[in-house]
Amino acid sequence: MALKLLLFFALSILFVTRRSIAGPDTLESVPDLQRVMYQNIKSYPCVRLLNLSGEIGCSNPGLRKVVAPIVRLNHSDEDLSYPSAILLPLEKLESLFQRVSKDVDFAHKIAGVLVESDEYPSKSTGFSPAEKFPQAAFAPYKNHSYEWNADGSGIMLNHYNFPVFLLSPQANSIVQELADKNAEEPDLYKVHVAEFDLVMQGSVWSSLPPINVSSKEPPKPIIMVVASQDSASLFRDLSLGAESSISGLIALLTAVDALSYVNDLTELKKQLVFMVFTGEAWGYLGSRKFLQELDMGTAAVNGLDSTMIDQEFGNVSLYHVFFNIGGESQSGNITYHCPADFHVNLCFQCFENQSRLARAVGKILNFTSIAVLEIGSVGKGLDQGTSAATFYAHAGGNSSVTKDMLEALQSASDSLGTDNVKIKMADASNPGIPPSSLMAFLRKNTTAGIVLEDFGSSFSNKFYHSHLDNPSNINATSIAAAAALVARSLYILASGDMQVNLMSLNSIKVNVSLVEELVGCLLSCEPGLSCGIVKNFISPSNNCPNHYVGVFLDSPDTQYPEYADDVSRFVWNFLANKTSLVKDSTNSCTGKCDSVDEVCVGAETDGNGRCVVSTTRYVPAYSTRLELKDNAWHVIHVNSSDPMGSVDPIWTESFWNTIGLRVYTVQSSTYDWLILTAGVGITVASYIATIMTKAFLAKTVKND
Amino acid sequence: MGDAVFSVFGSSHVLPNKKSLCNTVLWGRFTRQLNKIVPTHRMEGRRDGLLFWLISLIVLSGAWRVVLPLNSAAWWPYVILIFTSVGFQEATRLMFWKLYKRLEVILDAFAEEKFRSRLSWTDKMQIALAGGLGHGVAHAVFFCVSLLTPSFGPATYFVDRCSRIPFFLVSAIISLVFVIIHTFSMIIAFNGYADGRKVDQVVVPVVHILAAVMTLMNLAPGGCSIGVPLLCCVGAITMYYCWQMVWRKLTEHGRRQRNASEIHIS
Repeated sequence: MALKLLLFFALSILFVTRRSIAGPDTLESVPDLQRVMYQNIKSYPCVRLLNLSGEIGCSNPGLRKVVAPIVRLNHSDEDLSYPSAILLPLEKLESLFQRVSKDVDFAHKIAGVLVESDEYPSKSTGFSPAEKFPQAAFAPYKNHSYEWNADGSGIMLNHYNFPVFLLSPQANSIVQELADKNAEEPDLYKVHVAEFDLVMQGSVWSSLPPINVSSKEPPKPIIMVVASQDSASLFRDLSLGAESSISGLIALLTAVDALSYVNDLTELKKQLVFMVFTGEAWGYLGSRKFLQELDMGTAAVNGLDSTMIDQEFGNVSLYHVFFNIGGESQSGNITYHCPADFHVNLCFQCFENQSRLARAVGKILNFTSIAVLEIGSVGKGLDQGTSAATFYAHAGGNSSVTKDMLEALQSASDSLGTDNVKIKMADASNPGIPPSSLMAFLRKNTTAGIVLEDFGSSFSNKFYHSHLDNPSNINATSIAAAAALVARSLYILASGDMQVNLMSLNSIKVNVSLVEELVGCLLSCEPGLSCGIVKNFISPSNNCPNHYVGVFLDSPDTQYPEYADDVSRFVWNFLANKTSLVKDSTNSCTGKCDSVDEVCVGAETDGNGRCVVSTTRYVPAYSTRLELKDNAWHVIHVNSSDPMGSVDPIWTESFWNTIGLRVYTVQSSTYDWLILTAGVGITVASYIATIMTKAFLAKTVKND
Repeated sequence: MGDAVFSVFGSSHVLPNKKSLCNTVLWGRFTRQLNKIVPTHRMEGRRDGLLFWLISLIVLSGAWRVVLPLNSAAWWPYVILIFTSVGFQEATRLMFWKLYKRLEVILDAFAEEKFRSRLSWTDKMQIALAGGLGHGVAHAVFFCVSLLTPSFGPATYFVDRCSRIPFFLVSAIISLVFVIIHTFSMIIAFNGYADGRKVDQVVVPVVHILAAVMTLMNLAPGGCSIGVPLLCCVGAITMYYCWQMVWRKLTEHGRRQRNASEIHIS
């Protein structure tokens, strides 16, 4: 009988297995199996940041990983039956966060949030997690409710007690599929879960971040050209800031490049100082710290001195800039030359006795000496129809200085052809200058300046401080136009009251391919920071650029900081190269150069470091309310000479171990227990069967 | 996804998530053994059996390493694989029997000396049981041990072609079935060789091949929900066949003893 059964089975097998078996995706080992079971999801976290008054951002609620099934929320009013990981598109994020802050029950049901990625922000509605007036407390005017950033929602500055991750494009489809599979399985037999690891411990670790870069032409009176290189985002690893800051940076670098080919720069009356600030998105750290260093006259600003001068005529104090001419300064013995900006006739007086400058200064009482031109967002100035670029000058400070600057800008625009580049004044209804580094300069009430932007009354950037502010949000032609405008205006401004050499002016041309190359290097992963122009100067640690500023890793000694990030080091090398007087190609170096006026450009590249004569320095960028004492950071009290310090939140990061997101499948626990019970049952049953059989056999054998 | 490597010896192996069914099966077997007061020769038989089978499996896998992994969509390479492996194992079983025969002479002499009696047929059956158990345990260890680590993680795994039953559970059930099949096959085989019954001798390899080929059903989409229950039936049939054989031997032996004692008396 048993044999017949066996025959039957043999036939059935042959029948069943005749069907062809589809191409196998074989797992060849247990590590393969584990790789398939646990899928790591490439994603970008929203991290927790701390400041003096509390915390912002997202983190796991405790010390453990959060595991929850992936659920798609179809309607924003839908209720959840169990704590879940919500998958939703970016458009619904804002309404979700608003609902979380109002509805506590709903908030408890949210274990985590997964945001779908959106490759092309071709949306008509913008997305900006920053506030409507970013960093309003720092503004030098009272109207803090003016909406510079119309699309701002302010969600970045709230604290959420659950992890939030933005999915990368590759992970998008995987997670969407899992959410759909979960929806088909109502009884939770087989559930696909997401495991969030965003455990953030709360202590203060160190203060916010690293380095600024400054460089200048060989010394003369000052025109500062300023841009910022950092940005912020809800998802820290995707802070590109293409339009908000990097467009300005690229315009600055391109303008420097254009000016470097001009031959008669040394004959101009004024000194051009190019500054690239970082940390601006987190309380204008770079600009404030720079100004503080300038006050204190530290080595970081060597070559660029500023002294407060009391003068005999009243209690107005000015900044008056002294400088060293390259090669003439010795330690302790500084030669003063005349700050030959507007008043050549004061020269002899200042030579005689530096303390009598008071008189000289009295005559220039009404004039400030530092003029600042800030290049803000310039990536969206192109008018699609006419292909002409229009930029707006937002002026702040002493109006005579700004008037000169505006005239220079207008002349530059004329020389470029007003059909190509137009310059206009900002709206008169604005309360003041837009959020920019100039706000820090204007606190020193003797500077004046202009912020060059591509908007007149409110941001044209719909994705300010968000991860969508990427190269598709800017136009390289617009940046090139801004660079041309800036370069020519600087030439005109620096000529002072000298007749402008029109031949030289018209020869200032901007290299558009440089703009495109820089966009590719600084704003995308291909080629990213391993592009040719960057690799000429530095060896980058990362390929993908990220402009989140980070925290200070070592002490703020700044001559050759080891922990400056890739972009800072690149900008430093680029500026040093372009502003160098003598390009000495035979003097190879890897660190310091012999002369004090020389710096080593390209020190990190193998054997390509060269010593050039240039004044390019790093300046630390951290809050003016912090100081490093005994290897620990301390918060110092509010100083009356530092009004912006009183509103500085002083950002820092919290500790974390690893941050990750992975998905896997689990079975509901009832089935787990069922199977365990079955297994135990089989064990017990086989034990009993053994005993009984043994007893039975023993009895039968004994009986015989 | 196919489980090519795991089905080399004709089984697709699985452990339940977190609660290891395989473990409980093995533990069940071990407790069963430990509860018997096992005389020395049976214990040795089991140990030697286990080692012997492990070595044979390793040799076999070493030989097949050259060809594997089979990245083929057709099922017939797997059939060849299974036939050669099963054939090798059966040949090994024969060798084991031959070895045992030689050992039996020694054991008999030892038993005469110590206990003044030869090995009874129940003793021989128990040795066979131990050997079979060794074979079964070797099989289970070979396939299940590497799956213990992932089974203790938080996740489980469902193979595409078997999407209702977790991979680890299927693996454990198949291991359980094969332990049963191997254990009882050994008893049937040894009896077959000892008594010279051709039927018994043939049934063992046939059942082995049948069970092995049956696991190929797991390669078909949804096949595991048919294959695994069928495999359990094969295991049950083997157990039943073995029981039938033991019962026959018991009654036969009982009759012989009665006849002998009758002759004695009369």
